[in-house]
Amino acid sequence: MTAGVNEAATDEWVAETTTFQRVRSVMRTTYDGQTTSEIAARAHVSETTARKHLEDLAESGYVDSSPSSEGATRYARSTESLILEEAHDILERVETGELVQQITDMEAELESYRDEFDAENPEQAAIAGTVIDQQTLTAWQTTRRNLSFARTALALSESKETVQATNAV
Amino acid sequence: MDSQDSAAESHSLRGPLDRTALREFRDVVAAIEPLATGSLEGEIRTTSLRIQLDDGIGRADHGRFDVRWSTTGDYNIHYTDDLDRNLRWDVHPHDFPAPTGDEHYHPPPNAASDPDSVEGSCITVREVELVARATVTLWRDAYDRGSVNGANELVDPP
Repeated sequence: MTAGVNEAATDEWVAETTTFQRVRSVMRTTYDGQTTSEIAARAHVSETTARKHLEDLAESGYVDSSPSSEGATRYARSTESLILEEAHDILERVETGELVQQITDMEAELESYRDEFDAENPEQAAIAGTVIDQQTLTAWQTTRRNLSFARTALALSESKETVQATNAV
Repeated sequence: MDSQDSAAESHSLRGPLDRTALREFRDVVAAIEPLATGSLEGEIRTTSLRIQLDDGIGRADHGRFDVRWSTTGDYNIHYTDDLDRNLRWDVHPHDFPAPTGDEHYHPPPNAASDPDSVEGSCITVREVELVARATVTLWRDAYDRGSVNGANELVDPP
């Protein structure tokens, strides 16, 4: 009875979480703008509840809201919030020396893609009409993304040191 | 483009890999399955989530899930164990004649990719939280039955 596993997962999730936790969880990795109605369905909450939680999440900067032409507000995870979340996680788990090395390695990888496709990034390559296979495209985009998180982590680490040092005097 | 390239091309995840989704998947599994330990492959250059299972299904001693999840919600959830049995639940575009949707399943013993073997996936939920929970449930079911066969069809106990 294959419907069982999906229903069971949903029932457990609903039983073990608050409506706010579910809306936040859904929004954590929602990168395209979605309406309150779409989000409510995914989080198994009423639209009214979703709207309330989304307004709170927008207030705290976790999600960005943008009105659309039809009038329905759309919500997506705030990019700033996402970057800081990942940078923070990296800082907790990785030593500075390792972080610097990984950044260097990722920059080298991106340089090789730029050389291979004669473009600054995949968007430029597309404009130039260059065809890139899906696996390479995913690798390129993944490294660009993770490099951004890593650079932010390093900048955060350095700024923290400086600010703490200036606080101490 | 030879047939192997085009096969890889038409079966890839769309979009960059999503480190945030992999961390969430890991955390959900850790909270609900004591036998599972998840860790990112590549703390920064994250290529997948590796979930080690401390006991094996049937005669196996242990097992492992390798999870890849993209920002578009495409994913691979690949199971492998020390008896070299493999199976995989996937969501991504494909050119198999069946099933019609992006959700599909590569059955054991070797996660077969021939069009006759590939099935529709029993996992229809799409949220990271829910797919992680469904994966644990499917593993536990196979573990309790002692068999990887039929992993894609959860049968209620009598």
